[in-house]
Formats: sequence, structure tokens, C-alpha cells
Amino acid sequence: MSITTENNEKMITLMSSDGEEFVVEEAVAAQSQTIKHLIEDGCSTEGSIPLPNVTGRVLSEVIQYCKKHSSSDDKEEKELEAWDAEFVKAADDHVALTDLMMAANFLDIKGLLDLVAQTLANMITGKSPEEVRRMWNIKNDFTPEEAEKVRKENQWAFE
Amino acid sequence: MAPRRPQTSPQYSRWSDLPSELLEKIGSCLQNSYIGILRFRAVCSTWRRYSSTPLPPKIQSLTLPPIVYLNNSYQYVLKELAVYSVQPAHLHNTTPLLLKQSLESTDDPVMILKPLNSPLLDDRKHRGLVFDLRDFKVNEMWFDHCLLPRGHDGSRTVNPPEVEVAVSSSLCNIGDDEGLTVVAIVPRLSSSLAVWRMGDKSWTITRDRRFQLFHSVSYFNDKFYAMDSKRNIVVIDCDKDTVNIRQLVAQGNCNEWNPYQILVESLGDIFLVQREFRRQDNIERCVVEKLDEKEGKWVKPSRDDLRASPSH
Repeated sequence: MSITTENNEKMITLMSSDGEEFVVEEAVAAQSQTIKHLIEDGCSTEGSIPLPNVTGRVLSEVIQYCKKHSSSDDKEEKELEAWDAEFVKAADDHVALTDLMMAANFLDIKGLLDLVAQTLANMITGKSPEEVRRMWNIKNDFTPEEAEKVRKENQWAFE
Repeated sequence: MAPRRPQTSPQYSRWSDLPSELLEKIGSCLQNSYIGILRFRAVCSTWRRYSSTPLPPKIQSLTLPPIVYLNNSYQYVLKELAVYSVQPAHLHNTTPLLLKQSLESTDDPVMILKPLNSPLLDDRKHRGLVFDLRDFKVNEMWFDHCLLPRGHDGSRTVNPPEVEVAVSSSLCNIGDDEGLTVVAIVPRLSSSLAVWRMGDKSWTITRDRRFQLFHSVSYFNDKFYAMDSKRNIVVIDCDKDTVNIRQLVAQGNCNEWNPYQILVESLGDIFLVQREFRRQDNIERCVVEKLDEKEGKWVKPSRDDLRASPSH
């Protein structure tokens, strides 16, 4: 269902996979291309928009991001950058960031996707491959031939 | 801000489940980091599949006129080298090692960056050693310049002396108006300073009896600074046709010559960083002094200075 606030801002309701409801301004929700298309297709007129791939916890973070980014204009770019940095810092564990990335991808929010991808990339750069594997629970599945190529790529000889 | 989550979430804790387009996305964020891509490709076969073989950072080089010594001349090529800080991955509190590498070919050897590294490091011990990047935390730091000896008429020059060098601009963005100036310390000419400006047919060698044995030369705030063995700090003015050495700070209060000192710029100020090693009790310490250009002397840096300085 769509409600209208006093200042004539259209509100819509988003529902997370675990049934949590979030009432947000349409302009905020429309930062997500996926939601924007759903609204255009008239999916928001009959109650809330269900988002089956996003949990309430992640959705509340995504909404925080969208609210900030829909209320700031270009002049505040510097401030927004600082806000973004704090935002990813608050969700600092890699699992949270991975969840956030999946959500940004599903909801098609380019800015958020870029931000999280860059943060994860930076995390990898500072760690050894073994640490990365441990953190994300990834199996070292190289064939002996591949492993040899990897070893060669990572060798530095002193003068 | 949202509350922090527990460390594991059953949902997406396995990254191997991450859709390929997201893996590619993360891989593309690493485009500018050679080490980052190497890391990414060394994790598992899926990640390797979604990234391409990294290209080493493009390294520029420039052939300069030979530096003439007495009756010998040595040809040098000016090269930009990438500087990396390297630290064993499993040890957290060790001081990182600074290495430089010309990555033109990955077979090129790495060199230990002196004198910022510990005096305890012995080059000879490392000679020929091969190390595996995967066991280390590696950070790309900055670019450094060096003059590499070059074979002359096909024949290799025999042991050309190592040359300290400072350059006014990255070789990647030499502008027409800016030009390029190179100041080198020539070891076989009493470590005097040699200047080459873009377009010069030969080097201009400075001779000033007030200073002897230059040791360190750096470029910052649009000026070249050099330090001699008595810790005189000079500014080298190389406008158009003339080269002048102007004394900035008179001889410092040093009792003993220490080769492990370097001029470092941080936030517009110039610092002298010295590493001292006392053999009798095996203690190594770092002494940092700040240059007061107006007063022409070294002062004790404030707490804020230290926080901002790279030696911290």
C-alpha cells in the first residue's frame, strides 16, 4: 500500500526475507534500480514490496545508505565520501560486507556495490592468500600444475 | 549505525558461493594493484579463473648522457622502481622490510631499499635468495628512482659505482613546461653533485669546497635537498643555465658518521631520520629531527609531527 506524508512524499513499504517491514520514501527506495522497476510496474500499489533475497538486518543497512545518498547533492561529495568510509567500517567484518554486496547486487544499487567491492578488494590486498582462505572458508583447490604456476607468479628473487 | 553482527552468518560465509559477476567485480577493483591481483589469483581456482594475468606496473626509463669520471665514462639509465613494504604474514609486530623492484620483467631481482631499512640487514645474506610473496603482507608504497648501469658498446661496464639520485618529476608525467631535472651524487668524484636538465648534452658537476661527500639527495616542495657527510643540508638551485648550492643548515651536532640517515618529507616539513644501532647491547633506535628552514637548524619534532611522519 502506498501512503503519502504531510510533505507529499510518497512512502512505500519494503519487506525483508524474514518478514521485517520498512517504510521508506519512494525516492530513497528508488536508489535501487530493482525496486524502481518494481514500482514502475505497479508492484507497490498492493501492499509491501517483498525482497526475498535480503534479510532485515542487511536491508536496514542498505536503507541507511540509500537515505544518505538520496538526501545529499553533489556539493557534499567530500562529506559523502567520509560517510561511506564510516559506513563500510561499521559493517567491518567480511561476512557482513559479503552479505551487503549480495544485497547491493540483487537490488542493483551501483554506488553501494562499487563501495563494498572496493572495500573487499582492499581487504584481500592486505592479507596473505592463506589468511583470505581462512577468513572466507575457501578451499585451496589448485591442481598440482596450477599450484606450480601460482608459485612461479609469486616468486621474487633478491639481487 | 547498525549493530555489529556475529562473526559467522550461515548464509554467505562461503565465498566460493559468490556469483561469478561479483568475483569479477572485486577482481576489477584490484586492477591498479599488481600485488592485489597476484593475491586474488593465488586463493583458489575459481578466483584464478575470474581474473587475468596481472601486468606489472608500467615502469618508465630514460637513457641519460654518460657521467664522465677522470678517464672513464659510465652510461646510466634512469629507471623508476616500485617500492614495496614486505612483512611476514604470521608475525604482526615486525618492522616491515622495504624492497624495490623494477618490474619490467618479473625475473628482475628485488633490492633492499637503503637506508630506510635496518642497518642490521645484510645484502649479502639475501643475495640469490628467493622468497614467496604469499608468505608476506606486501604493500605498494611509492616509486623510487635509480640510475642503473648500462652496457657500453655492447660490452658491460665493470662494476660501475652505485649512484644516489633524485628526480623532479615522475617519468610517467613529464610535462613540456615542467621538464625534468635529475640530481645525482657521483661517488668517484668525491661524492659531488651532478645535475642534468632535460635537453642538456652533459651533466653539470658542482664543485664547492665547503661541502664534502654528499650522502643523500631528495626532491620535495619543488626543490632539491642534499646532505653531506658532516650533516650540512643544502638546497640545489638549478635554474636555466646555472647550478648553485646554497647552505640551509650548518653542520649538525653529530659525533659519528652514520650511513643510515635519510631526509624525509612529510606534510610539507622535512625530517631527518636516523637509525642508530648500538652493538654492545643490540638496541636499535630511530632518531627523528625536524628542519626549521627559517632558523636554519634542526629541532625536536612535536608529537603531531611524529604521528604524521612515515617513520612513526
